[in-house]
Amino acid sequence: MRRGSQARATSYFVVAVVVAILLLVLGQALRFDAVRGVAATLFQPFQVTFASTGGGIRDFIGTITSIGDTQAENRRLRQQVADLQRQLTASDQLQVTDQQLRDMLGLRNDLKIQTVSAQVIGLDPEAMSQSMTISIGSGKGIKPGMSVLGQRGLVGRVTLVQPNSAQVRLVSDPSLPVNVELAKTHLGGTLKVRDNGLAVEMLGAPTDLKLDPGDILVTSGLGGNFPKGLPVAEISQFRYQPAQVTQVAQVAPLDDLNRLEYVMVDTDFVPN
Amino acid sequence: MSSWVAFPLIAILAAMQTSLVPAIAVGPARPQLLLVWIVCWAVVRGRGEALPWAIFGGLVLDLLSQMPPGSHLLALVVVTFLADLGHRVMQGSTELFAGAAVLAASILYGLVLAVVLLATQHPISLVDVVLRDLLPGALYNLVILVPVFFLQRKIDGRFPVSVIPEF
Repeated sequence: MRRGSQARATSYFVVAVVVAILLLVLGQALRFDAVRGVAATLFQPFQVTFASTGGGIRDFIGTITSIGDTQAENRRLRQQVADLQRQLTASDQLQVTDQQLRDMLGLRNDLKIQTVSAQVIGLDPEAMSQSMTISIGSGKGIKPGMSVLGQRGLVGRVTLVQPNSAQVRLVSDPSLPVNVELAKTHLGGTLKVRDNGLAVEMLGAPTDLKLDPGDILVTSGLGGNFPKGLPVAEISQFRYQPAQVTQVAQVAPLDDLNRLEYVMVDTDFVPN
Repeated sequence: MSSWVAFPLIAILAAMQTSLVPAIAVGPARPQLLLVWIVCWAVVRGRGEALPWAIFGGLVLDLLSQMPPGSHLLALVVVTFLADLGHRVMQGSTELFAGAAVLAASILYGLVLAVVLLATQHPISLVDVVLRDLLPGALYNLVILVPVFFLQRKIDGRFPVSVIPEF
């Protein structure tokens, strides 16, 4: 490269850095989300194609690595486990819900939600930003703020909607805390990313607090961002800390957030 | 390489980055196709050609990502510039340098993004990001560098003169 073109490349580098910094500072003011919406619409066909190819690759790898099991059998059993998990969660809630405030029919109605299914067509390019793109948008009645469910529970929240696609912030993203409660005791807390994983923080928990691995957390409805009663995660590890005001338990999401292929959007609940 | 080919290729790589890469992730390790392609091209042909790709690719990734706008653009142009600069300063084997450049660029790229997230009030742990995301991802990038470098050397040999030499 000649000295002149080197200098020009350097000047382009400087301009690009300045533009990047301006975008970082003024991105929201410039309504960058609107541009992202247009881009998402343009890229949607490519993402659908590549996502389908990716599903094929994933199935191929799964077929090789599984011994004796077929993919179909695996999916059927997972679905069964998911159904039983939902029934168990519903049963736990029914046992502790105040009968004077909520009758059984009301609670069942809470759990029987209207959903629209969607294919996951993209994940964020960077693992440190936990979001994904799904194959349906405003054309199917999707609105920002709607809850997104995997096979077993809540996986995220719609943040941006285009006609044929939508962006979903996953519960594993640090910027999306979820108010939750234990399904069997209704003890409240906040689901957050902490120490390289998901954790639930419970302020003012009782001194006799006992949590067992597998205890289910559901959305509490506090804050109005999510409907009440959606299964979210399960306790994986907990040790009571006597000196702490806030108790923290490690939790695991009910769905593998890195391997989502299909999700459901809860169209019943749109936060204000 | 003609910009009529290069820019659509970059756009396709960005789309693959968001939709195909999750399927080939190994645990937390996710390869960064676009980063590897552009840094490798910076090593093979210099920033005169790689920098426009980095600018375009960074903007496309910013459009497809939920991260703060401008973050990918900043990270990609910085690592592309440094990859080319390092290649000019160091007198070594291109193959070896490509490996070292991709490894260093992967980590630096992730660090720039992490710093941007921290600066924009996103609660992340830098140590976690490095250990959980950057190091496994950088090693994965080294693996995909092999076919990418081979392919780019072929392209370089077949199209030795750039269509956009005066950038």
